[in-house]
Amino acid sequence: MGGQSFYKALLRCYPAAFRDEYGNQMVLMFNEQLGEARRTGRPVETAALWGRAAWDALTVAPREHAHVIFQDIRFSVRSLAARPGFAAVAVLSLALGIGANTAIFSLWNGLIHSSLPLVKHPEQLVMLTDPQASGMWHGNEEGARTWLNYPEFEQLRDQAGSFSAIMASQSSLEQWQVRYAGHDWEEAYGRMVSGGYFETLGIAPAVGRLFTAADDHTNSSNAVIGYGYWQRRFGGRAVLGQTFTVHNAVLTIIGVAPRGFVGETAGQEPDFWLPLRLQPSIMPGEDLLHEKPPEKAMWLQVFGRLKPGVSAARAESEANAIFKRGLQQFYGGVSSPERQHQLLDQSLKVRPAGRGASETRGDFATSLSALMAAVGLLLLIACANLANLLLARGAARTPEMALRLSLGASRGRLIRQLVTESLVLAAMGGASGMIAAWLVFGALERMISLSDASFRMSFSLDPVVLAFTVAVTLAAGLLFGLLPAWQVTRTEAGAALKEKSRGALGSMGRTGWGRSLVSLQIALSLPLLVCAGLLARTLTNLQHVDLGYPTDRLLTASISSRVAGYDTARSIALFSGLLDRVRRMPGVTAASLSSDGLFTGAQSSDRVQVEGFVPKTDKDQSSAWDMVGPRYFSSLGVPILAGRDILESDQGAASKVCAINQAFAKQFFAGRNPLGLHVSVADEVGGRVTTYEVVGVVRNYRTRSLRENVRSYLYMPLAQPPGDEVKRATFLVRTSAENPGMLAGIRQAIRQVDAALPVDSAKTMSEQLAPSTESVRATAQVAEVFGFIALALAAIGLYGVLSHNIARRRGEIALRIALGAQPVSVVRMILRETGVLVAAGLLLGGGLAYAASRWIAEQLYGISPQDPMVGAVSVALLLAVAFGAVYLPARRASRVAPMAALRQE
Amino acid sequence: MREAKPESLLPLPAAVFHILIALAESDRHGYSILQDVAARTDGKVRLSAGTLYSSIRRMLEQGLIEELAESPDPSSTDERRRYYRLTRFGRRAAAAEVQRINTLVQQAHQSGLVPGA
Repeated sequence: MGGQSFYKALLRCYPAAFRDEYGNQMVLMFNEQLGEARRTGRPVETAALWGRAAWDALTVAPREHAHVIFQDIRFSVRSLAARPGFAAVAVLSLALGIGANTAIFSLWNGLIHSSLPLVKHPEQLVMLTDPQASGMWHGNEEGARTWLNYPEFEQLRDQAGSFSAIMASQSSLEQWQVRYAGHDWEEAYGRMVSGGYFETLGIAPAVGRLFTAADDHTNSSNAVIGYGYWQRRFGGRAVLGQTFTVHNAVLTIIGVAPRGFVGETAGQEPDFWLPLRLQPSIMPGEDLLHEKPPEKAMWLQVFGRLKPGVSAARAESEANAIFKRGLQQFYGGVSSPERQHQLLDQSLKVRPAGRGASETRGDFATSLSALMAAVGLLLLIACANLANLLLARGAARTPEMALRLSLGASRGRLIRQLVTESLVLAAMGGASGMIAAWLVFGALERMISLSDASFRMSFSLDPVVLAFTVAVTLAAGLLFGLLPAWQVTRTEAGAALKEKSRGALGSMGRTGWGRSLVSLQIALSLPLLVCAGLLARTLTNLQHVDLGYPTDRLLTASISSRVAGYDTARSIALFSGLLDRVRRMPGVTAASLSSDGLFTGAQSSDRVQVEGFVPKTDKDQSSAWDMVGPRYFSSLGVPILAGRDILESDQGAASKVCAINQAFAKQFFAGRNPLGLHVSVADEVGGRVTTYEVVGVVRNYRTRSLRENVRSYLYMPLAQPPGDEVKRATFLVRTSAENPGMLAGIRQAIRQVDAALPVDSAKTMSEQLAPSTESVRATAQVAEVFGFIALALAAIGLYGVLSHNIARRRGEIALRIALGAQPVSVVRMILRETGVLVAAGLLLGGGLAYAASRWIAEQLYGISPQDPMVGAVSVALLLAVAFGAVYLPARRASRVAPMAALRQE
Repeated sequence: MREAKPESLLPLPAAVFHILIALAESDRHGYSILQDVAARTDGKVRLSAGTLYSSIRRMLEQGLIEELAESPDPSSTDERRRYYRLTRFGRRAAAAEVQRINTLVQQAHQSGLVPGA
């Protein structure tokens, strides 16, 4: 009958269990109703009946499915609650695994992958400058331009037709001292941007208004503040019209940027934006708005929005044409045609900018990828472990499953039940993982901001991150759930029941999977341990690098005199007076200063001409240089190998002298005695040449990097500068005892001389050095933590599988003992079997460790990626843990009382 | 579930209440419940097979009804039919539901929402 089979087909919409239970009754009833309807003779009755049946399939059937799922979940929760230890271990390891993955993915997503938040049509945005660079460069560049200067930006803004909007922003986020009326000075992060900034990014204000093109032409003193700053600093109260002071500028808040907007640089969140036109009052003593040949002050990132239909290539060629015209004007006066040709060899490169600029992105891309791989491994280990525990548990449940199968439960139903259990575990792990992610993200953010103070990014569960977490959770649940479910239900009902009743000798076949997983875990732990070891050794090596001077009891303080309005001559006088004052402070044993300081990131370098030296290539002529105060080397503790230190008398009209380091002597004097010979520093464009007589040779010492070779260095007295160069100084103060409290005293001494002098930083030398090792330290810590977790997980896995195995093989072991085997030989047998697992794991792990160590080779220092000691210690550690995990189960096996065990079986 | 208070099941879904009423007089099989409900309501309430058995499944789990091991009607020839009986718990649940509805009705009268008896 057609009607009946169609109705039966409709019943397929219901869960199998429901169908099995009530299907026949429903068919029976439907037939009766159908007959009744037909007897009325009205087709509409029949149609209504079919309509209700179809409606049932659409509404009742899904409810029944939900009921089954809910039941499965309830059953799973109850069965997990019965084993709280297992549930806790499972949820914890999953939370850690999923949390770490989510946090690192979130960071990766925010920094490396996703487009700038809120920016309209990010795919149309391009940059004409280097997205991964921030800072400022006075001088001349060759090749592709890193940054532009303000007049170059103006030319592009006014002449380029390829862009619907174009804007410039200060490439570095600045930390400024700001003051609101009636309040003390406070710190805030800001950035100067051109009038078209917000329009180019396609941003509308949350409150008030934003900058417009007019801000490029009038000297408006407008400021736009960030949403986060508005909430933090003002609690979201009305702020329009509020004024604040930054250096010589008094600014008025005209608007608030929308919530979530961070600007054009990923990982940074300015507190406010100021118009570029205000640069001279915000950075007093320096005019960056106008060109001052012979050098360019390059400091701006330039972004454009391509007009519809304009290709990046076309925009690039147009921008380059405008840029080249500007260069020709600027370098027209260079006398040497060869040098002019070199200087004109500069170009703009148009790059996609939807993800914005980011210096951090370049710095951390490798570390983040490595971290992603590491936490991915961790999650795999956790999954392998859970699969193992579930397998062990599943084997114990085999009789139960066999019973349910023989009672007519379908295999699909049992798999569904077991997988639901895993998914419930995974969901609990995923939910706790969110909390773990939030914690880990905070730690990572702090880690990055240690090496990049302006880095700020908040953990946000945006849809991409949430989707990632849900996907990872589901994948994990299926990964560790499906395999054991498959294994456990594979049993044939009769066979398993018989096996149980007969107490069969354990066959290892069933747990083959579990054993492979143990090997895999050991294999996965080894690379983590090796990397942790290598990085830890690197950290120790870096911390013990000989800088060439003692770093204890050394304080540093940097001052920008140019910003406070001092020219070179007044700066020299200021620094000399300050140095006298600092040297007289009680507790100070020595003090001096240099222009670029130690590990400040600043470095000056130029082409030099050395008496009697014939350069082979252009690069041969380059040397770093620094201007130093009197008695610099003896104050710092750098040994003077020949000649003398820079002295107070080396100033002004006295004959100009300099010191050089060993590297300089080697590069330029190669075996000659440098003392008394002359070195000239030439101004590239202006042709101004300053010549110094070498009066001292000092031992190489490190000022910039712990790893790189020390480059050749020329040290001239700060009081005899090679041009109009003195704008800042870093004071180096050696104290009689370790006393960071003295930094306050130094700050005060500076304030007493001129309260307007900004102290950029005041730190102990170890604080100053910390960022140089921070990245390695952080990576090492992460690898250590993950390595030990992996080790612990491997131990748990090994222990779980072995105790289960031994429990299964009690009968066999008892029989062996009954037949005369010594307990010790039983232990030996188990150790031998474990040894095979461990050896297989180590073999595979060795390969993985080799690959991993080559991957981090770039981060290592003073140690080979294949260091045998680290490898041996890692393997020994793994072996110790593995055999520790085996010991208890093995001992239990050797104490099996044969008769009791056999009777029990 | 059997130990739950009847109040925890309130309000009862309309279909469940109808089934309880149909089973109050005598034990019935599914189709008989359906017919009884239709007759009582002058054909206004017509339970579908899906709704009926979904409700029965739930009521069995909640202990409101139970299934009989064999047909209470020795003359019945159709052994495929399954019969259901109201439990004491089911009776208490129905009473609680009536109480709930009564209270509501009284409140509607007292508040003047509906002209009162």
